[in-house]
Amino acid sequence: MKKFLMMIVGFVASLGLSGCGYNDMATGDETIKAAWAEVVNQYQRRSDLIPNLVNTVKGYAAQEQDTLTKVVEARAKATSIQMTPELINDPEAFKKFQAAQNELKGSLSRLLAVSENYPQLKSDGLFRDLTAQLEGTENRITVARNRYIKAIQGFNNAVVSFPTNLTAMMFGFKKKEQFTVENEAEIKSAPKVDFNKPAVPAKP
Amino acid sequence: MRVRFAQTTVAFIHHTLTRPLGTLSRLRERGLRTSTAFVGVVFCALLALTALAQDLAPIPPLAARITDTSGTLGMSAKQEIEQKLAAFEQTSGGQLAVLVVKTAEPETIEQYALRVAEAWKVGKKGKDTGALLVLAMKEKKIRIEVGYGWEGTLPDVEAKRIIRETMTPFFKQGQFAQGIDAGIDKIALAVAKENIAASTTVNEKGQWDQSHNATKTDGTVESLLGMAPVLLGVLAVLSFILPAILVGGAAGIGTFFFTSSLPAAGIGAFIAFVLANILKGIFGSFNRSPLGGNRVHRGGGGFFGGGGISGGGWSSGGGGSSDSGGFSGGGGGFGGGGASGGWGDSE
Repeated sequence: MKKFLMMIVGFVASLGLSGCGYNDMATGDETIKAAWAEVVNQYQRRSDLIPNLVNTVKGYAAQEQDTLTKVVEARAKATSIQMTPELINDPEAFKKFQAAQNELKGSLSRLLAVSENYPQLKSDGLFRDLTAQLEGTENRITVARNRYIKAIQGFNNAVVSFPTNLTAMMFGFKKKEQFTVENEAEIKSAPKVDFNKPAVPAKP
Repeated sequence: MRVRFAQTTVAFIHHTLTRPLGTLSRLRERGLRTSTAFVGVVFCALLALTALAQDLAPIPPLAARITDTSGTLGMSAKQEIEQKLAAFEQTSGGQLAVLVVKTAEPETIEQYALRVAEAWKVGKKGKDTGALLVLAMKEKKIRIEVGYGWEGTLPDVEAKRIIRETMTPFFKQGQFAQGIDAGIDKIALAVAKENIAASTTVNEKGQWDQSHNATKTDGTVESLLGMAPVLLGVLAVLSFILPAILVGGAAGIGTFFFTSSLPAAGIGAFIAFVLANILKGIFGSFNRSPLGGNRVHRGGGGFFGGGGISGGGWSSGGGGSSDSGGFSGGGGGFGGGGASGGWGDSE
């Protein structure tokens, strides 16, 4: 009788595992990795654009040495951080990575704001193409980050909430690092690098 | 942030709910009160969430290749563009849809266009050869959203150029039909160039994968999941009145009626039995604890989280195309490619 009961319990438990969110969490884990890969991919794309952009700006606005150097430095700093999937599970490294990317973003928008003062630069075909690409990439970064955030949210919800948290505990699923709250507003807003409207009032 | 907001809301609702109940049912069992409050909390939390979601600009249903909810385009212009888009679809092996709305607010055109693209899923499934043209009349903004498969064919630079050089000059003069028409021509040209370069894609027309069946089954599963909070509430009440074993039995019979499958009934009974035991444990501790009220709230918060996963989750869904017969998306994916522009004075 006891054996029979155990068998039933075992059978039900194995079937019920999917019902208790194990599969959801396992696939969620993979979804997060894929979403993260996309985030990294887009950041990479942005940093690949920078050398060309800097060179183009240099041709017209060499006196903006300070702004240009800052962009180059920020890029070097951002690319020096290895963007491995393990980064997601290391809050300390994750914060550093974020800070570096934010700094790069900031220095880039300053560069573009400054370029507003150079009409010749603005009408340069290459510069236009590069800014269009940069704009598109910033938007892709936003999308990739949003999708990553959603993936993490679903996973973390499952890990902390009942009854799936029991399954998570059993199989060692832990909460994943989310993009931090300080730049939440930034994440939710569209890319602020707007090439059409000058950030500093254009000279008449 | 939203979670914290929801939790405080839940706490507030919980307090307003339990206070009058407390005076009404002094004679009643305390646990029954808490379980009623719990059911109420779950309902109100769900209501609060749906209210939050409704603030965004609506996504019109996809019934034609060109959709105009702003009343900008005339009947004949729409028909003309529709025919052009249909012909483009035949030759290109991809899909292009146009949407003209009054406003995308409170979102930006980029955010709104992506949401529409994700809902409509234009483009061939697996190939993601789709693009979407969105105009927001109030903001005077335009966006070309490009699917993954066309990001090489129609790079951001090209999309930007089409907006800046082809479309906005028309828009600035209020010639919207002509501007859209010219833009479509340019997009078609870019795609045709690419297709000639890689002539394999020209011959390959293929059927759109509609995946209606997948949508249907998804629907039942979703409705069952949507009922989860209600079922949990019923379970909470039952588990207080009946012994856990009886709750399990009742749940098993109930599941059997719903699914007419014995294994499912067994699982249902088992889960209900376990849950009933846990709920009993929680409510039991409330009765014993002098700080009962406080702890009920915490329990409520926890369960609200449980309701959250059933609604959200990270499954991106299969087809999701409309049944309207006229036109539907093929299941293409988007990742924010494309470009935006505007025809306001500052541009």
